[in-house]
Amino acid sequence: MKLLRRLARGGMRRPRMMLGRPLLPLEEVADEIGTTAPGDADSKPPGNAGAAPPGSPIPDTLDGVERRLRDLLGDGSPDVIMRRLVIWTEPEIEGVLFYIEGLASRDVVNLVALRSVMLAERVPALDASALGRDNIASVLMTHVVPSGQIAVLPCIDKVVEHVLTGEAALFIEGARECVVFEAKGWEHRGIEEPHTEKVVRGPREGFSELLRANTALVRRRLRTPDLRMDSMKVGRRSKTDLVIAYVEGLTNPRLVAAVRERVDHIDTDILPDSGFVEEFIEDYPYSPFPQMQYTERPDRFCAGLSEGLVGLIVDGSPMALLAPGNLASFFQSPEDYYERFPYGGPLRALRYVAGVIALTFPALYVAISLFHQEMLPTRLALAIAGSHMPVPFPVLVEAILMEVALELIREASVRLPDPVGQTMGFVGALLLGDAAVSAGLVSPIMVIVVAVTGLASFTIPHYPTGLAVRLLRFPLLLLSAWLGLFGLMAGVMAIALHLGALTSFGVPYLEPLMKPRPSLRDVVWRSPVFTFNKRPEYAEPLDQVRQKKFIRTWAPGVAEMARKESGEGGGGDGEDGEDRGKSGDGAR
Amino acid sequence: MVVFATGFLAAARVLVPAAGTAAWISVLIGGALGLGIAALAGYLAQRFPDQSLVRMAERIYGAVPGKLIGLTFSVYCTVVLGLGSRESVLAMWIAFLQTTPPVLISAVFYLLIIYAAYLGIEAIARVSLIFFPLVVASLLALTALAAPVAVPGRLLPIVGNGLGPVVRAGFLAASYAGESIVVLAIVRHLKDKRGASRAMATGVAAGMVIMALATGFGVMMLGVRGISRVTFPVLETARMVGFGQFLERAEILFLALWFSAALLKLAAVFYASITSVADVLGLRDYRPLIIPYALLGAALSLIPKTVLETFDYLDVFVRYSVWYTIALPVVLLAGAVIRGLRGGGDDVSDRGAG
Repeated sequence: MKLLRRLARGGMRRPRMMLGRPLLPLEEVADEIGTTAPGDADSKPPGNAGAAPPGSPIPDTLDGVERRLRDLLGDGSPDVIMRRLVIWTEPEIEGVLFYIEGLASRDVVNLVALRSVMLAERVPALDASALGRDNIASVLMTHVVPSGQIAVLPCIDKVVEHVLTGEAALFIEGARECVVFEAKGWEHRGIEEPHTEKVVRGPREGFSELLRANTALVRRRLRTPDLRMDSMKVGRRSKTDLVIAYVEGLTNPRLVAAVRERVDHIDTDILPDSGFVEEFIEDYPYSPFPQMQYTERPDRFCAGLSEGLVGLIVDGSPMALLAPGNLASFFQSPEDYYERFPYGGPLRALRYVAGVIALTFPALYVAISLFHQEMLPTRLALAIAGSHMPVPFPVLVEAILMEVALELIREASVRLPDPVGQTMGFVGALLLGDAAVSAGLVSPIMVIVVAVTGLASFTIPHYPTGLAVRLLRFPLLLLSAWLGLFGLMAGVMAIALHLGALTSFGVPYLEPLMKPRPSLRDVVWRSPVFTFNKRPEYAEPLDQVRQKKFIRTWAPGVAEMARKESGEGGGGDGEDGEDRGKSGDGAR
Repeated sequence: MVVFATGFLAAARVLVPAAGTAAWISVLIGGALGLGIAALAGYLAQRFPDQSLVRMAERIYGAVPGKLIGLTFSVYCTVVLGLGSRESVLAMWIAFLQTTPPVLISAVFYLLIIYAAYLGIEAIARVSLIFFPLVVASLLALTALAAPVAVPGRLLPIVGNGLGPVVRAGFLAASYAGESIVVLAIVRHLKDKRGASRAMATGVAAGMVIMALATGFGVMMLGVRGISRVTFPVLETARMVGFGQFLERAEILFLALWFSAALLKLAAVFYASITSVADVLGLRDYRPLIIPYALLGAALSLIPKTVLETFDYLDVFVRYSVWYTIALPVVLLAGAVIRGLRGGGDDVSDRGAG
């Protein structure tokens, strides 16, 4: 018994040399399946398993196994399959194949387990007399069961855990260990076009709910061997897989460590979506502004990783997270880069303008029409006054009514199914606006103001940022109705100061806007891609140089420039002036 | 940045009577003086890169005199704060919100300053950096739009009231530039200490050029007599400008931007002031001081009873404060040089700003 326990504590057993033939180097595969990432709290790597007892051992008899499994999983679940079989050995040994229907693929179970174990293409049966209860599972693993991801586990709790992720387990009569192999094959949504980040030009693949498919999408775009995907499990009951992705040697290790530490601290029951993770790990959960970027697009995710950001993919969520986030990243659309730069720059600048409009336009209108009529040309002022004449409410009430109506339309059309939602949006906007005007409830100018504001707020590519802006519009409305432009400015200053103090994983929220030259190059504007010779600095990547400074040396004139540069300073990547006075200007 | 925010609003009011048509030259003279002050302060900051002003003073002159010097500094800051906030609030009140009690405007103003100080210098700095180009752009736009209305002839005679008064007025203008010594209190938060003096110089130069422009254009548009009559010359200048047929009197837009600049400047001054007091008292966190100190500043800003009195106070302040802003870095530097001290690794925790 003591020996058994020690064995159990020893964790997973390695395959042994058997039958005098060299074995395949399966250790790595076994490692992968038997253990999860370092740092994962509830599964220790086998090396230091002595510290924590890994759970109850596998019962000796198959009846005992079945009883134990029923204890653990309950009696009534019809999707829990325990199938008795006879393993192709001489003399015969009985086994139980244990999997969850729907999680494990029927094909894999049939082909890998049943066919190979019961029929065993090897014509002479396995000589069971040479096999003891210690090594039979290892031999099955190395010689019989044809599966890429396979391991032997000595502990029944762990086996159940694996089976619940879609693997299948083969218990063997009398054996101390159990063979667990990969059989995942559940129904899932395919790779579709991302719904929330549409582009006219650019890839149309989007993440799906399947973690492995998502990691594969990332791997396919970033084939560097330095891409790391550290896996963790979060959620006491859901045991959701979560992957922290980064590029070794590029991403700042402090950032990776910070993300990992915060994820480690998550203690919750279930993790239905990456949004939960975001809220658990962000710096300022009470700020209206989002501090992590989320994306459905693998291309955007990879671009983020290549800039030294840390990515988080949560199983079951098509929204991957990127940290740290900043205000500028929420105003960027991948299309800025996919379309040629003469259009990318103005479009991006337009979005910033739209952000300002979305935030302040109704408040500005209220302030001007209540306090500062003298700003307007006389005829415009008269037009506004005239259109407001039949309206029985003060301008503020009018504005709030229309804003609320707009939010109602937006919310309604988001929740409705697509075709209905679009119709709903049109009907709501057109009819409601028109009817409100002809009923004399609001002035036509107010309808225009609200419509422009609504449009502007929808141009912000990052949905929660748009929400934040729309939310903050209301206090600004109140302030400007109270104190006119002074109130509006006070509100804007308060928001600006809040943004100035905000950080995401320690990185200031406004950091990319702080330095004039890089920010003109790729934050508020977008320069040609061949000028992006440095990575953005805010994530403090270890390697700042993205590409050579002079790439188009075949073009007339560029080669001379490159030569001159290397003659002067040596090294084509020095971007003089960029690093100067970083905070010298910063603190003033 | 710190310099010109409130400066140009009323500067012409103070300078033009003294220097006449050559007020803008005075501003440039003041700018030169200010550059000198900034250079002194910048050198001092380089010598003691990791220390706050009070710690510097304590190291150079010992604990008690150092604390006294620190206190004078925070008194100076408080006066700047009180006068500056009164001035900005007045501009708002007179120009746009005549029916609103100025105390209410003041309260909102101070709430924002409290919030800014609570968030710390980093937030103030970042927001300043974003608003700075906007303010400069607004002034340039104003200048461009004002050009058709301006009458260059009003700048004659060039020397104004004569060389003496012009230079004397230059010292008045330097008082605005001298406010850059506030940076001394926050210099240890800079990542790049060597950039500090250059940044300070740039700030002073840019501020003074803008102030000169504003003053010059004010004179060109309103004439010397006109300026002496109105309270906020730049505002009046803005009032005369229209965007064609679109916005007639856009001065409120400019004022809103300038208000933000003034707010940021005063928030920085306030922050410098309370951190200095915290240093003098040996507090680890300056935050408990925010509310009482803000109340003090607000009370101080209410001392002048009338608008005119405010400007009298401003006159007096401008006349004498310039000597303080010169004396402070000189005294500290002299002490440091004589004792051969340099800033070493101090225990001051750097909050890693930038």
